[in-house]
Amino acid sequence: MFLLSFTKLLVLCSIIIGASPLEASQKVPKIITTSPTLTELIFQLGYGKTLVATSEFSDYPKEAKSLPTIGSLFYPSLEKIVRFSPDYVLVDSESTPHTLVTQLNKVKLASISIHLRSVEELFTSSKTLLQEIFHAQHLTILEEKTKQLQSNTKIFSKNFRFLIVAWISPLTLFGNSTFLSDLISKYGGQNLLNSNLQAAYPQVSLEWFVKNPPDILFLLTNQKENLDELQRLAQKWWPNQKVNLVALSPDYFARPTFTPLEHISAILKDAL
Amino acid sequence: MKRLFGGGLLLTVLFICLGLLLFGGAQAISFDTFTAESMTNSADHRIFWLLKIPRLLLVLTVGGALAMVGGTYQILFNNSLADPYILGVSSSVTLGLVVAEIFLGWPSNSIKAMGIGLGFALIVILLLLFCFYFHKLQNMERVVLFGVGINFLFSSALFILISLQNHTLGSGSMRWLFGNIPWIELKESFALIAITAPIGIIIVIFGRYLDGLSLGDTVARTLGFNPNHVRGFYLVLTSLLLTSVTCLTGSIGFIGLVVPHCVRLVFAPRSSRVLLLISFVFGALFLAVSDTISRSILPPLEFPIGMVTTLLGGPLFLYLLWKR
Repeated sequence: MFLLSFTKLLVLCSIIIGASPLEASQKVPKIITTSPTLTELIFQLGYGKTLVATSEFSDYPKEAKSLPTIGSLFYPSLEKIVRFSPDYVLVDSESTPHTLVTQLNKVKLASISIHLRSVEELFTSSKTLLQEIFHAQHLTILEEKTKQLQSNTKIFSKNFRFLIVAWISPLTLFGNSTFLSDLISKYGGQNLLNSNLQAAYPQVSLEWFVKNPPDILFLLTNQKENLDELQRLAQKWWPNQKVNLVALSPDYFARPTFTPLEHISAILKDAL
Repeated sequence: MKRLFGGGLLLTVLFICLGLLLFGGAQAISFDTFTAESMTNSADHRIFWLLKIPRLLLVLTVGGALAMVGGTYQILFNNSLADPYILGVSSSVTLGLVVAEIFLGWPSNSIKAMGIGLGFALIVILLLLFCFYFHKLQNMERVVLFGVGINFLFSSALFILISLQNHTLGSGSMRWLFGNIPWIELKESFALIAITAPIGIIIVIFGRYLDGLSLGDTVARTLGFNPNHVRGFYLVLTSLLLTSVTCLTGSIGFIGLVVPHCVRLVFAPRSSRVLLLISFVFGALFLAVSDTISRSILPPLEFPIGMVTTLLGGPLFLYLLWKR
């Protein structure tokens, strides 16, 4: 009994200090991720040290920057992947060509395709990773995140209409089938884009945009000039309506990981 | 008579499409917008005056300019495939603008970025002229092939530059590859017209030199002018015209190639001036119709304009070739 508790304590400590919560006897799997999103997710789950290589642009957390890369984000090099002899290749379905999975099968490398288009998919994918790859006995981290999300969303009772601008020119918005749109919807938001549209980041007509002013207009940007530009345009297009313009930093909101979950509440509290 | 009737019918259809562009599109606008006093502050009123009118002026100018440049190139190079898009001049301007945007942080519609774009275009034109003057045969087909090679080279460089950008939301860069009609204010539309109109007028005024060139260099010399000087003069002028529109819209293919050909096939103009003027009108209307379609297929989605011009122009061009 005491030994079991002690083992649990060891596992807990290893999570707290940020080490991979793998048992000493367990073989440490060698993982390759094909996108910065998956790299960030693996670190958040506490298994960053299992990564042997990743894609370009993997820059968060800072340990990810020192990892070797497998080539360009959209066209990863199969040769480089094979050279690392990974146990698993985690393939991001959003950014990686579908053919990569077939190619990996042909060279007998195990791969898992990860979809992260909604909050549910983030949790289910994380669960799959923890159970199937890392053989985690406990899903404490996910339970905590779920509780946190539930308590955060409860505070917001007001419904609001929103649009998320990805790019001003050409005007590109976040569709309903994106993680960020789904996350904001959990807080009572309604994306004004037609929910039947399957496109993740559609380019939309400015005329439609002007005709459908949202309550909150989000803009994914780090640059103040972009926000000022949109502010100027919003005043021209909707002179009689109050449209709340909110900047979302790409550092926190560009990738569908647990990071946006931690920051969205504060942003929405200010906006609403 | 039959040709005149066909042309008139085509023009009528195109003008109807133009009306649809103003009052249709992604958001239809009723005529009440202009009658009811209460509507002057409405969203429809703003859409019409802030979005539709400047956009229409931009589209007409760009379409007309591209068709005119295409028609001029076909005469200068005495080759029916000569077109700024195919010869790599468009991609060189685009590459220059992307270089200015990525490496120097200059917005593509700034004068400095336009200067870089123009510089790239002039480099390509100098290379084309070099190929033409110093090639033993002075064979136009080889010059065009040389241009095609440059186009591939610059397009690949452009694609590499765009893919090396941070991927997170690089969709904005894709406008350079497929063309895009941006939102501009009315004063900017007039500024573009003020830049392009004088160049277009000069091209048409000196159209008789193009007539001479279209008969061959030997005939041109007997007419008393140096064909190489005329060629250089026109290439610089058309580069200026091309740069001024490409810096706003990116590369829009097919108009420069297809419109002058269609004009030749339908109207059989007897002089270069007439060819260029009709090409301007039809290029402008063709792009305007393509733009309306790009916004009306699946509203509120908007498709890249370059894709629509190719989808529309391709079958039309093939049909006209087949008929003739």
